[in-house]
Amino acid sequence: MSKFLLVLTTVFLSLTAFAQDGEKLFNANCKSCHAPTDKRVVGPGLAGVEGRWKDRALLYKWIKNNKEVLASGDSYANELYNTYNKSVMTIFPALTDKDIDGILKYVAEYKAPPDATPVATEAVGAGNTDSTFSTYTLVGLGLLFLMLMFVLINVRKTLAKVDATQTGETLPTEFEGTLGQKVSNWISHNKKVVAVGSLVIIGYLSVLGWNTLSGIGIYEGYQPDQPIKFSHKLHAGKNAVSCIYCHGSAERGKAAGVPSANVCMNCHKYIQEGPVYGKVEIAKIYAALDYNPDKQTYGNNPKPIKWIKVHNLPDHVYFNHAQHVVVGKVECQKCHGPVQEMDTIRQYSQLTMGWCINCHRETKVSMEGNGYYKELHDKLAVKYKGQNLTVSKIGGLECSKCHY
Amino acid sequence: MSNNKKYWKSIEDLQDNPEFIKKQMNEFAEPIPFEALTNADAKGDDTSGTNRRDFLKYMGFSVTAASLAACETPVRNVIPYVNKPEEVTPGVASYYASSYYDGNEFASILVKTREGRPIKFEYNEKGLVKGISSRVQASVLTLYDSARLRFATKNNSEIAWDKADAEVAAKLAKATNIRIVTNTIISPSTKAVVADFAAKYPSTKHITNDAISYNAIVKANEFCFGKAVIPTYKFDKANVVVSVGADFLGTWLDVPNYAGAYVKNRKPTKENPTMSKLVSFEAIMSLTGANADYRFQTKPSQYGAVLVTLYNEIAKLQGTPALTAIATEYTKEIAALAKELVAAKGKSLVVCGANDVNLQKIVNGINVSLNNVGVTVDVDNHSNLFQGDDAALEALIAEMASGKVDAIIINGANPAYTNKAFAAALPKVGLRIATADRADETASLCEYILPDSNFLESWNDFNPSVGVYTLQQPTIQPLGKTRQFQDTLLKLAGSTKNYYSIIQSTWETTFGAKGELDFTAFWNKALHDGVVMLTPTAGVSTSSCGANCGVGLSEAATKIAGYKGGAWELVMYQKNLGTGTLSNNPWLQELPDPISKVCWDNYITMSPVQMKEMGLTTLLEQESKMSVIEISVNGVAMKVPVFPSPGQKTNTIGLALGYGRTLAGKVGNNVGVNAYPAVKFENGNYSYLNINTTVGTKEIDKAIVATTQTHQTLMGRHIIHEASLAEFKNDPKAGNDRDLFVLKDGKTVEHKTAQEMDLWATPSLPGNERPNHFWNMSIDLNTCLGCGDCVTACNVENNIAVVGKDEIRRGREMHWLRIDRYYSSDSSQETGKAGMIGNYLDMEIASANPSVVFQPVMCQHCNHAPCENVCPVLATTHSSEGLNQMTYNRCIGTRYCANNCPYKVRRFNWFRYTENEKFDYTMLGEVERMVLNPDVTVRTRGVIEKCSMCVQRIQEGKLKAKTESRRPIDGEIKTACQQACSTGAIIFGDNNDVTSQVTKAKADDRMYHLLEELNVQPSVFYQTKIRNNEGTKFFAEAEHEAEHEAHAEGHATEAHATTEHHN
Repeated sequence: MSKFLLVLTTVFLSLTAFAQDGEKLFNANCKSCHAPTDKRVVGPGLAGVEGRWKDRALLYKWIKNNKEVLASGDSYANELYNTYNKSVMTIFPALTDKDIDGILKYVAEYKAPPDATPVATEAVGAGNTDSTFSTYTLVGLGLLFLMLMFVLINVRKTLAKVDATQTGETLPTEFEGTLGQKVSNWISHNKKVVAVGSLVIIGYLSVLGWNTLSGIGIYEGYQPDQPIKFSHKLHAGKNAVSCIYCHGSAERGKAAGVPSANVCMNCHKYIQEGPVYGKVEIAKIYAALDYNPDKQTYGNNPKPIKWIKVHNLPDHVYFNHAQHVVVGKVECQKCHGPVQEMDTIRQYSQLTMGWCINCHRETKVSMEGNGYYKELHDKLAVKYKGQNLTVSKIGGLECSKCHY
Repeated sequence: MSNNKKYWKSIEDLQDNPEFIKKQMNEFAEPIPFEALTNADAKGDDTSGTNRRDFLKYMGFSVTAASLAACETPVRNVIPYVNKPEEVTPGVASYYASSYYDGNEFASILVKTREGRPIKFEYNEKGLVKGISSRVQASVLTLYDSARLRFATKNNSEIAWDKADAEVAAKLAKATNIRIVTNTIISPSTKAVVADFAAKYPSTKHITNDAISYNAIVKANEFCFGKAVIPTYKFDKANVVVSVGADFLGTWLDVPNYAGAYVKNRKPTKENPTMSKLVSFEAIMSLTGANADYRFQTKPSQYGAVLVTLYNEIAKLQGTPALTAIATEYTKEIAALAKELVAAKGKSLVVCGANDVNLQKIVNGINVSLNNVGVTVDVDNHSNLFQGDDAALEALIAEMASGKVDAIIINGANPAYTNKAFAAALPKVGLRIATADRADETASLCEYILPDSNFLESWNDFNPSVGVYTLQQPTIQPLGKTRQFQDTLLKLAGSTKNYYSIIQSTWETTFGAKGELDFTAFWNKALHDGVVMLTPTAGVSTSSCGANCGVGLSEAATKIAGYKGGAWELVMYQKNLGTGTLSNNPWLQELPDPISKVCWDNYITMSPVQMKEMGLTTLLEQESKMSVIEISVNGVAMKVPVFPSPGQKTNTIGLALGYGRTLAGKVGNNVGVNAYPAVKFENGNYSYLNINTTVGTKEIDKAIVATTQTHQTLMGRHIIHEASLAEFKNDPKAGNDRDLFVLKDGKTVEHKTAQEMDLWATPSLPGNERPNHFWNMSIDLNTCLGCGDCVTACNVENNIAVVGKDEIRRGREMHWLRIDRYYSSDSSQETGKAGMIGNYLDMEIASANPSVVFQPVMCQHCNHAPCENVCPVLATTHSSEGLNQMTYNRCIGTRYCANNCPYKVRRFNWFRYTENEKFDYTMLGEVERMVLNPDVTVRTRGVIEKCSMCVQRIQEGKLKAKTESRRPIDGEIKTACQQACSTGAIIFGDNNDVTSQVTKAKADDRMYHLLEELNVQPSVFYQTKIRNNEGTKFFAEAEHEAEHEAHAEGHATEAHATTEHHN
């Protein structure tokens, strides 16, 4: 257990080294075992922690390296250790006194949030209403315009009639015949209008057709409902969990991988309640693992979670995450968009071949410090003097880089 | 001198049949079946044509349907593990060290698994063999074989395991004569389990039955050395090797071990131009004969005579007593050979393939007198394979027939298939239990089938030879309700232990005694490595043959003198399928035979000269059928097609074992003829040579035989470079005339290489360089034995479709890698100028004993690729790393590229093999297709495919190097074919890496490009073949005798061809 906590902490530490404010530090370092309230998680709730320690310096020492304090034989520390089942607290040698002050300040000022409201859903809804509204407006305006045109034409006709009656001029006789004959008669008298009109319509239909057809198979913006209302906004955004923490195989292989349920349990063994949906969604993880949160026991009837795949590539394309994430040092967001702002994951990019190729044409290869590229860089630097060494210049557009 | 042989690829090629020539000019031997494509039920119905209107209708409908279908958003799920095992990373293969053993072949392997599915085997670096045979590789498909039983059965209906156990145990308790029949058990733990069982049921006797027996060698060794073992043969330590009917490079005993060792001594270099010499006496053309430096056609009845004569000649030279002489047609040659052997005393080896104890005794006598025992024949560090006892099986059959046996358990053997008498006697046994993985010929005669798990689902340990211990570990959960044989035996013996714990305790005992104190650490390392090698004890050199040996040898010689052959003699041999255990494996069925290039069949091999005399069809075309004749052997009549085999001894025929299975599964059932009934128990052993066979002289029927050999003909071009060792010593470039391109510019004559005459920018010129990698491949014709292991490796790695006999017949095989086999004939350069190969009809007699060369051909990855220029859609392009890339999704199937390829290596997908019911092999079934490699696209109908140089492996290796911030290490990236080759004939690497093996090979004097005059600048190149067959005394003498002009090895044989039939 302590080993895993250590790993967890190291991951968090490395991510949040730059974070200075108490909340971030708390989330990164303490949250997996402590609540800012008086609720017990793994360790005690931290509300009023400052009052419980006789000496603030000792508290610093405790947080930085609790083992030393325990070894010194401090009575309160040892009592605490025994009360909480002798579970070892991780040591945080990297935290400064200032950091700890920040954390304690955050804990002291912490107020439990009011009952969770589905903020995210609202935002999405608003967006939808917005777009629907504009479409309806356009259609409405169009209709209004047509009606206006019709009225104006009639008014003009009537005025012409009245004018003719008053001046005694004879009106050109109305063409007699069926509707079809009338239409063809009108067409024969207005050839230019018809020609221009036809061109406009054909042009419009062509563009429409082209757009429709070229959009086949592109699912940009695809955002299906997932079996668990997992929010990247909460995890990757607010809690700043690194992408790699859950999608670790992105650094090792072709698939970024959807984390297995046991990875969720690294945190959700302790965090049993979410800010938005409370216990409902987290309970689905427990159900998948057949885990009983009260007894902290696993049953033997686990059922894997059936997520809906959002980012689909055709079978004849070979894409490797490790190549892009580790070797190319490409940010996840470059292709997946601002995931940290998405409640429900959405396909951000087109994921078409043109999209891949464009990126390969524009992106500079990150060759610095990679022994593989050293010699190649020297060669190409001579050849392409003054130009960027893009992926395309090292064969990144060749077929068998992705198709085999 | 070395270049004036003519090679021809088939009899038709040689005979210059106009119809055949016309057809072979075409890339695709048949017109394109547009009718069949557009008309669903056009099967054989030629009248139901499809007109243009229909075509347009279908077309219109398809386009509409396709666009409608495309509008629907597919919902795909992604289901992660609940608890991901630590060692699994999705998309990254895991390798587990394990072992393969099926009773016929042992191999140390690495099992490649993807997300828990075993998909391929590679050789284990820690093991003895640096390669992996076709049979072992293809056996991964057995795991996914739909013929496997998924539950225990009693009288063909399912029975619960606990119920079956209880019933069987109760019946066993009452039995008074229990027999266990297995193949050779080389597992120490399994032996312990069998012993436990025998302790519980004291009436138990264990009989070992090998499908193909080598019992005579064991018996002879027991007689001569007091050790009933198969020795370890060390071909790498022999400078002269003599094989009398032993196909040790093809199928005899422990081939992968022998092949790798044999070529170690076959690599002459400029600095050290020496190599071993292989002399073969044989009737059929085997791989060993094909690779031999000298091959003497010998009837099986004469094998003994050859050995006795050789013994006597050696004795004469050494002044030791000789045996009673037996006349042979090769007296002078054998005398010369004896001199060579004596000169190489202690560094030579004589082996014999006959399962006859008399012959094997003489072989031992020869090896003893040559001081080979303890050096090249090691009976101390012996092999543990093939412990089958023929006499014990005969005794068992007699017992069974008399009704004495009341319970029998059969595992790993299929005696009802390999032995008719066993099949007849089996129903007389009261309780019959089979532990086969399917209801095969034997199991279907049994009351209970308690199916064994596949070896990929089971634990085991092996001790294949003295001092070598290996483990087999499960890499997947059992797919069905099966249980491994050892656990079944334990259960029946009432033990509560499982087999895994037995293995651990066996190992703890074995290795604890050897000083391994921390067992857990030792076990984990052993499991990780897969192999534990103990230091071998030095072989004891034996120069005497034991006390009773002298008498024994004379007795043996006397018996051999009594062998009189009949009008015809039959040799039963093995093909790619081996003994028939793997008959249901489509990869093996479709792998062309190394010599005949026939797939999906066995057949009688016969000398083409005699076939003509008998009026049998020697011409093979896709629509013409081969003649079927009837042979009668051992009282059994068989109707088999006849296939011409140049090099076959006259009045002998060959017939492969392992075919004619009836209950192997959907793929292997009723393929070919079962030749096992022709095996006779004589002189105390099962004999695979029948010296008195009746052969019907008339064609009684016609049958289709599918072969890949008449396709992709390279005509009479100069494509094999070859030289003799003597020539090589004088000039390392011998036989490799690469720069003989003569430019006649007015009166001047220039000698230039093809590359110097290049019109285009070459890789060495600016603007077209290979800045990063330049992937090259070298194929050494000298060490390539033609076995075809690389072909199977390629098939498994690259998801290559199996197309079946009917499609092979039409020339539509999909293999990316083929091995061309060329027979040579002895025409001079002068006659060669006269015209095409077809003018040489008179060469037929001279080619009765042709020399043979093998040439693996895959996409040559030309840097000036003719295919790339003609593709209208840029589906095949060149990469900056020198690869010729094939983009399936761009391909529209014009097949221009295939037509323009000078090497004929491009394959067209005529069907959708993943959905078409006709191709129920490796891609159609839900279970079978689990074997597919997820990193290689499965091609659809209508596209061309070809060798990619395993680009998926290249990319994987490059990525690994990049993530570790280094360049790829030479040898780190291996293509599948290279990986499989146990002789190391294929070298792959980066030519930009100046220290790489392939760069060195490219600079070698033996290097040449195939069809170099085309200047397509291939990335693949070949190394000249060197034969050790000139300037030797016995050859020179024989030649002088024959009064022939010196140059080809076939002459020696030819000189005596008219004086045979001594016996």
